[in-house]
Amino acid sequence: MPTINLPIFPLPIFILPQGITRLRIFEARYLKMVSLAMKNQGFVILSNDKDDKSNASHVGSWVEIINFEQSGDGILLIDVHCKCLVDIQSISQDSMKLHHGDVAPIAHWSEVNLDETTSDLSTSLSKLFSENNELNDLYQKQCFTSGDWVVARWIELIPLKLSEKKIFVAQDSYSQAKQLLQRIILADELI
Amino acid sequence: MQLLHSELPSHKANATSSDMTNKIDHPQLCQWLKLIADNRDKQAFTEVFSFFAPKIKGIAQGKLNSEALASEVVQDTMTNVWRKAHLFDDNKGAATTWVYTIMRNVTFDLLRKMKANKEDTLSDDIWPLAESEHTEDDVFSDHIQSRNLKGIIDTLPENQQQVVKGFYFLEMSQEQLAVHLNLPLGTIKSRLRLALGKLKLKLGEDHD
Repeated sequence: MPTINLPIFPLPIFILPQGITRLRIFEARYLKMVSLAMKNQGFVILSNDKDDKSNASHVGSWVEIINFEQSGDGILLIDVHCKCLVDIQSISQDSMKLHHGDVAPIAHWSEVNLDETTSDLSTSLSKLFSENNELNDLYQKQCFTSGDWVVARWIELIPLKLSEKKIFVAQDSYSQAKQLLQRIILADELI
Repeated sequence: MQLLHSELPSHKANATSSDMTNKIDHPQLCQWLKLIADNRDKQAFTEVFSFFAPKIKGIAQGKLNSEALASEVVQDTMTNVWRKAHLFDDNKGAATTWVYTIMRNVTFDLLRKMKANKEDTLSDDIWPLAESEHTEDDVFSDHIQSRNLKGIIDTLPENQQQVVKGFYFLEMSQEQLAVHLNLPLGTIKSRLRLALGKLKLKLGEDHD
């Protein structure tokens, strides 16, 4: 698998392919980094949580910057879209003390049509989007007819620890994710 | 806490307008924290951030003598404010006291980690520290074996985390989920716990 070298940002957030999130950048010296990421091929978000030291992962989320704006107090806001997950194979450090990794894209869940369960999850998710302007604005393209998209967005949204969410970067974790949501959102008891 | 609090440069709080009183609007701060806790309200967080960030940075810079470290204290303190807002109880003290207590703890943690690092007593399972100038160059060689990656990632300096601050747009609080599903908070909590328990059981408990 060919690798590509990208900047790596450890952040306490979890984002799966097709996920979008907004980040704020408030340190001057890093604005330059973002402009580099914009010109080149984005960067990799590495989920980490300082309160949970046991869960270092080498899977990151490769994101592209899709939008940016300046907030009222002069802080740069960027919206990033996750194009795929990557395996981080090595890390080096540049003169600005920023890290870059050789990463290789890895497959995540396949495309899945809605079934009975995900259809209910889709209805609930679309209601959530319609009630939440931020989410609605963030996602210009919404795929409520795609099972994997619905399940991934729900996994990002539910209040679980990062270390727990990380289970779902595995390629074969779709049905587990679906079952988890089924229990939490739909309260269906599974045998 | 008291020490830091008393050293808060009060002139910074109202540098912009002579019309503003010198008083801090405590009820407003409490209300913002409550909005953050209950609704994950980003606007409220922005207000709290704007209010505290310059103050924390000023204090931390005085204590630590480093702009980078001060930014890190701001980052960590405000991240904790966001995450722990539900623990704030306005009956127990002022919002400023609560935030500066968090800041104090963050600062102590940082100093402790720096000290541990200097003395080379850092064990593998301790999350490492930022700005450890004398070790980073050694640790990050250009190519590392991937089996060592976990250790390497463990040592990513936290200063990199201040690069970008996630607003956590994509995560609901338990309260929000409860409201969305029109269920009591207790039900949501137990559902999360049960569902996770079953998931972990299935995975053989090796994901802790």
